[in-house]
Amino acid sequence: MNDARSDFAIETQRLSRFYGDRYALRDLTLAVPRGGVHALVGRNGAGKTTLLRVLLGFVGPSGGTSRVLGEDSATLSAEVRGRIAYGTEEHALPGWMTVASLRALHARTYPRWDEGAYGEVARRFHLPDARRVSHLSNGQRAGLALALALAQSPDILLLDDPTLGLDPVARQTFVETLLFVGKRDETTVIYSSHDLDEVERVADDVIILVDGGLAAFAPPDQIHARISAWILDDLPEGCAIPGLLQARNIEGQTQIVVLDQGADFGSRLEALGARGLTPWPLGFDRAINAFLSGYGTRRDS
Amino acid sequence: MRPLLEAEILRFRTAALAGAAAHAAILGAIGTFGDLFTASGESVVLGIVCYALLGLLLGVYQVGSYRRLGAFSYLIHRPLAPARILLALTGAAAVLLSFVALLPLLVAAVIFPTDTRNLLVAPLVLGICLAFYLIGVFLVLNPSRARFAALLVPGVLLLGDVSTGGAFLTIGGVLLWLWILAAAAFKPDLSTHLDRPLPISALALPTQLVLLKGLSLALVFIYSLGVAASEVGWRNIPAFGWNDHFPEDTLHRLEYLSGGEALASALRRAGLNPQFDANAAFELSPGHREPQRRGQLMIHDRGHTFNDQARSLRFTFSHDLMLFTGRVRRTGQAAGWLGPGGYAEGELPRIRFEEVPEVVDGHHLVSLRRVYSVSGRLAVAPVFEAPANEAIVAVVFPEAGIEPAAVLTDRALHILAPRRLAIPFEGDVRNLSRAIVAPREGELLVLFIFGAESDQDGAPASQTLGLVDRAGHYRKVAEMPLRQGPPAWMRHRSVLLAPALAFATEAALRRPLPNPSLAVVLGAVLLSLISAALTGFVARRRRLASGWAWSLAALLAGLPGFLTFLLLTPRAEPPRMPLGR
Repeated sequence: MNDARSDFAIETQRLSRFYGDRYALRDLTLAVPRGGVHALVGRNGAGKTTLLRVLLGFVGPSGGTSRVLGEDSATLSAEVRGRIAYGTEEHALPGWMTVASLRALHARTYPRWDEGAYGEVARRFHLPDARRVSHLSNGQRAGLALALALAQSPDILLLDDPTLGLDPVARQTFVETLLFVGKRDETTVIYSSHDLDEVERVADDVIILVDGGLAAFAPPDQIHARISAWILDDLPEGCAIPGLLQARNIEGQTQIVVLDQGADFGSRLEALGARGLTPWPLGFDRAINAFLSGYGTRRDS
Repeated sequence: MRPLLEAEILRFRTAALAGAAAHAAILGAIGTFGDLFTASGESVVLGIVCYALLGLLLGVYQVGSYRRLGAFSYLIHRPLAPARILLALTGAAAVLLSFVALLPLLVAAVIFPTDTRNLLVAPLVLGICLAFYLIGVFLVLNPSRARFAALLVPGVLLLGDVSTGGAFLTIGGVLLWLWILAAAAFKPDLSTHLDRPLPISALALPTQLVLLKGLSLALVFIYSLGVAASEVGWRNIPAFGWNDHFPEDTLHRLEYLSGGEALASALRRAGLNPQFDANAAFELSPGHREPQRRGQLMIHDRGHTFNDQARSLRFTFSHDLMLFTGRVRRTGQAAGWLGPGGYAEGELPRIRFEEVPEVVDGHHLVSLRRVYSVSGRLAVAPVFEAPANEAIVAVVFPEAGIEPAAVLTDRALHILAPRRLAIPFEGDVRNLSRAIVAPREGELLVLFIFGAESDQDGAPASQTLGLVDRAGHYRKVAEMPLRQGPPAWMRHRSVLLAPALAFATEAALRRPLPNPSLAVVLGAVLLSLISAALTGFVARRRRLASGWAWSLAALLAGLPGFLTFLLLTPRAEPPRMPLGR
């Protein structure tokens, strides 16, 4: 088995993908270890969907390489395909089939089919066997897609923004299922999402993509710890703030968010002439938002 | 693979049941109120179009529904190789189409008495349905601008007039060809073009042929416009009478003249008196059709039914019996047979037709070597029998029901009245355009015009004038070459545009090979070199690794080769920034 030689479920080396004049992935080097839930975070157009599609072999890379379970993703064998489950935001399933017939089809298609896992997820989403897929609600369709994916007993589960458009209850059920069923099987879950609260709760690691490149890959608390926010009364004209991600004026005061500035940041800024400096608690979602909005600009400048 | 195949069959089960019922009802209605297996050529073509559309719609809808819903990733991402997924879909389509198209046809062939050969129609229909199903799949999946060229693949292979066995080989070849295309298009990344040599060649060939035909037609249009403008000026082009402007002594002018006018023109050119009895003149044009053979497919049937108005009987030729079998028109009840010995009832006649006859003008039967007349009492009498090494290509009847005046075989013109006479002609009957006969003061004037295949210059264009004197002796009076109207580059436009394709097409159709002048050959070589160079240049700019292969193809296929390259290859996606940081 190819994948026995690798500790990583997914490896990319300088992976690039262009669509005409525009790049979607740029020089992306990534190694995702086996097991755990890894959240893929980035702004629209950052390359999340393209990365997942390259990993599945749906689009070929323009440069570099990508390997999934030890195989080149552009030429995945049927056997490895069977060990990768994939879900999209549309939860595109054949609408003409009933839930039961679709379950039967998948049970006969996938050699590692786990009826227990299917049943557990199906119960959580109250999936009616006799109903056509096209007649299911959006949440039920998402649940069916997740049930089918998890019952494959996949080594890797790739989910592209699976909770988009779901109501809060369905979203909650989906995330809980992912946590309790997905983690139990030691499956490597990579899922992209814009819901940062959900990411903080679910993910073991966060992969942040900015402009098609890798900006960060670490556990949520580690990334959170690298980002700090401060409020200050006055800042001298022309003063360059190191590691600045975001700056805003609120009621005469300036709020700044900075990256990788350590505990002595306050004293260093005061030495530059800043006055009234106070640390400001920053939640995970706002920290990542500031990171996403400021990282590309900071890097380019 | 099997679960997917079964799921796809179940998916369309209701539509398949409805389709099969409708098909059976239509066949039943035709079989009850008409004759199902002796349909006219137009009806057969309409039927083929319907079956082709059925296959095409199934392919487009079945695979298109996965693509339309964004579910193609769902379809292709499973523990099966893409080719096996396509095989499952195609297998399901084959089962469904067998149920909808093949089964009702087989049932109809059993219910309505017909020749054994007609049982073969059903599997051929299934083959046609499947061929167009694969075309539908390819059209849905391939992003190339030239993907519609796949529609021409069946046409490319069906150019020839094939026998029964050949039809199965042909449809097998078509299915294999289309499978190569569909399997190459059925891949995870639908945005990429075909990238392997075999499927690219399978799509490039029909594309090149279509482009060759299109460019050739464009040249004819431009040339014709230029001729018209030079004759009457640009403003008067709508009033230009084309046939008046062909130069004298050209084949094209003779083709526009009536038989009498053409004969008068030949007499004048030979320096003879152009007076003759124009009202009694007649002409024969070879049909250039394949002779009818025993056991042939019904699509090749011609004149297979004979109607006896007096008894209200309808006779249909049976290849199994080699006799016409009669039925009462209103009731469909069996009513005897019609053979070379005439009408018979009760016992099956022993004397049968040796060749498959064609009913002509409602009173005559014409087979490969024989002409029979059928009287009002259904008595059949032989009228003409060609020598053993000759095959009849045309018969002229002065009026319906009157005995034939002349028979043209592939070697001679046989005059039947007022006395029998055989006039052999030199040259290939396929190149014979017309034979014109006219009486003059007890003699017969005979004019053979050759050049039907001279457009490619592989065969000469000429006219041979002869005279049958009062004693019945034939002598050749004059043999006059005909000039070609358009210039050499126009006549050899196919060679000029795509030399290898032009020669290959003529060879495939078993026609004389082109024999172009040195100037045309040099022009063709120059154009091919320019096409190959342009292809190489663009391929280099597009960073295509297969540029040399495309250049070689353009060298052989000329301008259509270059245009095909432009249509089938993607524009490169060069990196817009250095990859390293």
